[in-house]
Amino acid sequence: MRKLFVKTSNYTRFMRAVDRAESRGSPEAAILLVTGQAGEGKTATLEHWSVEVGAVHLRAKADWTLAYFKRDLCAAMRIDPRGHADVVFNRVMNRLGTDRTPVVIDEARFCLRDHASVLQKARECCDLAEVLLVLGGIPGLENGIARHDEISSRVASWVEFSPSTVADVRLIANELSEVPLADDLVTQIHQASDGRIRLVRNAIAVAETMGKRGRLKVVTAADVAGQDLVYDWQARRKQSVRASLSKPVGLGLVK
Amino acid sequence: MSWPAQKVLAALADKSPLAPAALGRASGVTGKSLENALYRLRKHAFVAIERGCYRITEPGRAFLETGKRFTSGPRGPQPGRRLHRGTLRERAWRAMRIKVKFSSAEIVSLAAKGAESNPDSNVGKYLRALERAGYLMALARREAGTAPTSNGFRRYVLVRNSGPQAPRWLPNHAAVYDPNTEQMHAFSAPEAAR
Repeated sequence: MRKLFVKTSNYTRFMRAVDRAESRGSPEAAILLVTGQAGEGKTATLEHWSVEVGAVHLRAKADWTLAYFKRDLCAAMRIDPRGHADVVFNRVMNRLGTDRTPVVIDEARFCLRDHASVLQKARECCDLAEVLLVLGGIPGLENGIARHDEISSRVASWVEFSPSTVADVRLIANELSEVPLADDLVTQIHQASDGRIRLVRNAIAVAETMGKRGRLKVVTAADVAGQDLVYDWQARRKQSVRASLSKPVGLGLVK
Repeated sequence: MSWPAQKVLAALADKSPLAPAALGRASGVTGKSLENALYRLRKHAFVAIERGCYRITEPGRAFLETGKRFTSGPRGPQPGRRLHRGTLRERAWRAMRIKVKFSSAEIVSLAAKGAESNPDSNVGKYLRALERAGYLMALARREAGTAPTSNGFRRYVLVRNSGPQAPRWLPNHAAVYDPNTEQMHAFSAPEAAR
């Protein structure tokens, strides 16, 4: 299995939203909202983008207070956290303004407690420095943000991650699997995983192992029949692959 | 010849002294460019000014005879090794700071762009160097490998998150230089001998 970040349709939409936010008319509307169910590749996308652009990446904690946030932010930016809050945030703002680095806060729903004081502070810093603030979280985050006018009015773009399409699964299989996977198997993996990337990757790893063991040139659904490709604990069942499909589907050639 | 100062010097070597307007006509360099060129030539004592007219000096003539070009640089050999920006290791360090606990495979998947020749080897060496210098601690449990006979991937935890700039591994010194703290972190004795 290759170790690569695969640029699926969700990533493409995220990058389009970043472009839209960066070309905004009003400099203070600098918030990009990213929501999606767990396992749809939201965190991986945010992490990959942060690594790419050198963004300040924070993961909100369940017990984040303003002081805790300040400590985490200073640690991420290597700024002296000592001194009065105003002085510390001035240092943060100056650094952000100088380096022009976006700030990413994943699991941002934890920033909504105490009248969203953490989010208000983050917004204030990014507003003044005119850098992008990217907030990631599960669906419902947008509702929490909508309750605060001063934050919601600054949202430049909102990306909703959706389950991967069959074409996405095909792309992931082509890029990650060292043994080509046939179209019928790709369709089965897509159905079994409900398009959740985490499960798709697991299934591809299993299929690739089968292909390597059997020294197959292309792994088909028949080759992995009976194998547990996807385990979904909520469904309380393992998603095995059926031996064959009723009708073949054309998704283009395997790699 | 596209260096204004060189043109001015050559014009003065043909005919000296010359008033600024005549010098402009003779060299083809005028206005601010002529002003800057004369300033720099005077700074190097290649040109002198007498009663409002410029004349070439002996060092100026000697310089022209050497056949060298009067350019803005380079002023000598590059003193040290060039630092490259946006490298795989820089991105790997950023990924480590985000993940805190990770496997080498996770770091490669976040940091590699796909154009690198052997990102696994590169990141693997970097991780081992950081571990020896005390930045990373290897965890006892490995992440399951993807190949049938794989021993799995080593997992690490970042124990010294010193700042945004990536520490640089100096193989010849058996150490890691940290630009955040401007300190060298030598490998521990038994590890250095590895």
